[in-house]
Amino acid sequence: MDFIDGIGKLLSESGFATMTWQQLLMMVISCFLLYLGIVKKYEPLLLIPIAFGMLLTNLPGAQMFHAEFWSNSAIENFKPDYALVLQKGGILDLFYIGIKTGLFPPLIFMGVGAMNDFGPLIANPKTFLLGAAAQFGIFFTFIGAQLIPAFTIFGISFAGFSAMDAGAISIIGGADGPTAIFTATKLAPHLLGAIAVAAYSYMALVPVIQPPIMRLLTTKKEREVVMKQLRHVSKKEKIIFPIAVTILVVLLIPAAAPLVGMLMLGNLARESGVIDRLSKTIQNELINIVTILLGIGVGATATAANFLAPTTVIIILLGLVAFSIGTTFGVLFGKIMYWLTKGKINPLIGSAGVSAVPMAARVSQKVGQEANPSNYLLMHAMGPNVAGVIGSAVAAGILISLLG
Amino acid sequence: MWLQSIVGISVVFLALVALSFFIYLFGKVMVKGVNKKKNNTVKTKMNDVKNVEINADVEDDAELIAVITAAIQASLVKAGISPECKIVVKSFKRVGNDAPVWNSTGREELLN
Repeated sequence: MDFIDGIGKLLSESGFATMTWQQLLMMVISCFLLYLGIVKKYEPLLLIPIAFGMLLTNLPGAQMFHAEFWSNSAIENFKPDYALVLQKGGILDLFYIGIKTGLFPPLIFMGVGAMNDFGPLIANPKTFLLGAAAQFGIFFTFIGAQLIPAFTIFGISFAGFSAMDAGAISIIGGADGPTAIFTATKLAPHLLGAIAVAAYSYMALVPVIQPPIMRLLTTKKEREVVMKQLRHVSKKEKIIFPIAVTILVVLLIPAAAPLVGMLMLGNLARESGVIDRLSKTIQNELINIVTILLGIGVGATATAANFLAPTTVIIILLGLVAFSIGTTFGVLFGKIMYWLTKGKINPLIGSAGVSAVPMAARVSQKVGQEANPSNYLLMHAMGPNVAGVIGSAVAAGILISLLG
Repeated sequence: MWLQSIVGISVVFLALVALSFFIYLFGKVMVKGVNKKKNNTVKTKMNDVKNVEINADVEDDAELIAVITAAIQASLVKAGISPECKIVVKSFKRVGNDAPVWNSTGREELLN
């Protein structure tokens, strides 16, 4: 083989020669998401690994992720061959094992539990209802997604969503990344990339999406309500809380056990006060390591074939609908509580029921302070906020057991 | 589809209402227990102490300004600056709270 032939062979095998326009477009999209993460600081902790995973998976010839190992629409109830993945898989395939097996999202939840103080929720258990009300967004979107008819426009066809697809998409309304990933992996793994990107983008956009809805649904008088200071919550209560919630919720909805169980284990590690070393590891090193692997693994599933489909655009739109309905019902329920308590509850804390901890609670605080600068709603909003985390995990468990 | 949604949201509410009720009852028991303990100690140790009512109207700006002025004056004296140094607090404004919620919670816990 002479020199020219060698160079020619190298060039013909290089990514430049084998790249398709779809892969190029996906690379542009991943760079845009990297821009959103780095410059605009949209949930950078997750968006950057996700976007980089997307970039790697779409580089032609890199063979880092093999979508064909994980799903095959021609075979019903396709089960991945893990021996094949271990032998022939790329590094992103290996990261994806942790997502496919449902390992990473509960680990993230453990970290969330260890970072959260459930004190405000224990002090004011009524706010559990706000966390439940905000889950309406999930179930409305579940219906809405299935009502979208199949269509063909400009040669692009959309076959409609199955009940399992709709369940996975609707969970975006829970505004909880790990829950959305966990549910999507169980119900519709082929939509995982789009669902994760939509969920994390909307969580980052909480301060943009929620305030107009909150202002629209409340009067100035309601927004100005100063809430009574929360009572002191004893250590004993904080320790018994995670144990009691685990027993009650898991007995009621066993499918929610991985998420709720790990969330509460993390919280118990924090509150027990005797395993400080473990608690610190759970809320720092462990969650950071898992975040990196989870982010890259989720990004890897966003291959051109999976992501560049009309379903992605519809999922992003449905996510916005789910999120807005969740916020609306949270605030409306807050209003009901305002009336029932004769003005003791500020309806603005209802919007925090969508989870997105602690961003949604900070939005309640900010909108409340616009109406009354001396008002501090943050701790009050943390109650529905963490109730929302529990609520969306419960909703995910229900969807998995009804549809899975 | 409709049935699944209705079942779904009902179970979410059922679970969270059950939790809410349980935590409410549990909180009542705990608060009662703590109050009982407190009352006992107060009765045995501080029989003669009368209730002192403090009416602090935190909304009153004039009082707040006076307190802030006094605090600044005191800190200046402590720092070795002449007490003659006169300060007039004309207005005060709460600065935006940029601290992450975890930090605020931690601080609040320390204060409590």
